[in-house]
Amino acid sequence: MIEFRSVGFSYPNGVRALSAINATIQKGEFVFIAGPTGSGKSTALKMIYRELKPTFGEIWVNGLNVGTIPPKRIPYLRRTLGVVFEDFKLLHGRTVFQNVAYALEVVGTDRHEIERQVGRALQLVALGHKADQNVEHLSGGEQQRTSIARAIVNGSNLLIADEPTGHLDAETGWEIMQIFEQINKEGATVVVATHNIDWIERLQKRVIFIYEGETIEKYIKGANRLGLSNSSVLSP
Amino acid sequence: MASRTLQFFLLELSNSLKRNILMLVASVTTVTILVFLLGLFLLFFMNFQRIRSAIASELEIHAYLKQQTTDDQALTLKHHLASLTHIRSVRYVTRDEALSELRKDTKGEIDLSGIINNPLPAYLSIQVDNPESIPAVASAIQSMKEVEQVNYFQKIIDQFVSLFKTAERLFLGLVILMLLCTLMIIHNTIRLCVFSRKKEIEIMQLVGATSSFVRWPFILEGAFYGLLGATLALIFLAPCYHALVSEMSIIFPILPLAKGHELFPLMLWLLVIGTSVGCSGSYLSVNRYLHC
Ligand SMILES: Nc1ncnc2c1ncn2[C@@H]1O[C@H](COP(=O)(O)OP(=O)(O)OP(=O)(O)O)[C@@H](O)[C@H]1O
Ligand SMILES: [Mg+2]
Repeated sequence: MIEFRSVGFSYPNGVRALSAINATIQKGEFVFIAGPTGSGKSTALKMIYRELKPTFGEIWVNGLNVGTIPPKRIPYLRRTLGVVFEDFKLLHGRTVFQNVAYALEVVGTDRHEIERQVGRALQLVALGHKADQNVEHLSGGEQQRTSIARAIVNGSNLLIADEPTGHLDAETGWEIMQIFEQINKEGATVVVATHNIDWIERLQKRVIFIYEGETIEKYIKGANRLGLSNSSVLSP
Repeated sequence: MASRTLQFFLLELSNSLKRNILMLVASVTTVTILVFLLGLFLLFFMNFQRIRSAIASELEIHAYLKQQTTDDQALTLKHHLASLTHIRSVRYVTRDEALSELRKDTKGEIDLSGIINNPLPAYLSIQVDNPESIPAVASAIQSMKEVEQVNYFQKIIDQFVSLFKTAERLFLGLVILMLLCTLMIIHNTIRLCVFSRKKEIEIMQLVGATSSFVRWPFILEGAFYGLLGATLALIFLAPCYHALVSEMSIIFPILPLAKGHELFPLMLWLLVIGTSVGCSGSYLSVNRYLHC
């Protein structure tokens, strides 16, 4: 579903964020991308939805070499996946419903279909009762659930989350992680970047480590041998 | 565009206007003030040109004919002149008509009854298309064999021509400057409005909106600002101009000032300018944040 082939990325100011990313994420998997702050997790995810273009190497998403698609095709790539951010990135001044519906408006879905799909997505994140609330009047957890609903409403089977619990307290964060697990159980591929070791230990999923711009891929089963509970794990 | 999408854009427009009421006020006020000033300038310019051509149409060249010229020769010459470029019309005034014109002009204040042999020459009265061509036309006529002398108040006309030329250039320069200022200031205001919604634009793109899908509601919004601003400007402009014109017609009743339906084209232009500046301002500003 997603494949990084020797991907490297340098920012225009010369900062080399990634130097050798190699990873394959299978359809239906739930994968964590971990690593210390500044290691390049966000940079790697941004290349999946073509917010950034790899400086070298290739990234394949759903059979598409996303580094080479023309800018005009970017919106179509983004409609095949959903992205959730640390800061929610909701459209202010709009209701929960309008925010979720926006992902369907862009493809010209008709009104009845929008109501049906948004209703379904909101139910999955247990936010149906707040559909007509302005998103600015929601708690952080509710805002994040709105953004998850928006990410899945178009029926895409790939969910990408960048530090989705960063702005939330532990308990709310855990609820969000459970929603991801639920979405994954229903068949979607889920990729979550985080440096929250707690989630990684509790969920027991595969982890792709990024350290100094390179991947170190290990299964969680071996994580204890690596000393995962201890931050020294992050040095190879 | 699918009607479903159009419906969504209109809904977006109305929601956005409600949400961004401060920007609405700022943009519309800017457009109103600038279109008002531009309108005032254009009205002055338009009336200036009307006065100028009214004066120009009064100006004529008199070509006095030699004594021995017959009516037939004079009429042939008249037709020949009428066919030349720059000449709008030619009127033949016979010696008798010249005398009766003189009688009429002097209104009996001078006793002309003693005149037995009419001393006045016949002449051709020539109107040209614009005052600038008078000197050239006059010298061409002077060289014709039937013509004794040409008279066209050379000095006054030369002064008139150069005065109006200078004034017209100055005016045109100011109008262009004003138009540029209007474009720039409105663009800048809209740019600030769009800038404050940079994040919104980024989010829309992240969710899979194409550039044109993001752009359209902004363009509609820009058009709305422009149209509303220009309409308000016209609403303020109309009574101001009306008052000015009535004052002026009391002082100078003969001034051919533009009134009523003659103003419609100008009004339409101001609406078009306002709306298109709003559209293009939005278009250019949004484009800065779109990736294609
Ligand atoms: N826009 C940018 N311009 C220049 N350098 C950048 C930019 N964004 C990130 N970087 C640099 O690239 C490197 C990787 O950053 P990135 O945001 O991908 O790290 P991260 O693993 O997501 O960190 P965190 O866990 O703190 O979110 C860092 O050294 C960072 O300073
Ligand atoms: Mg990050």
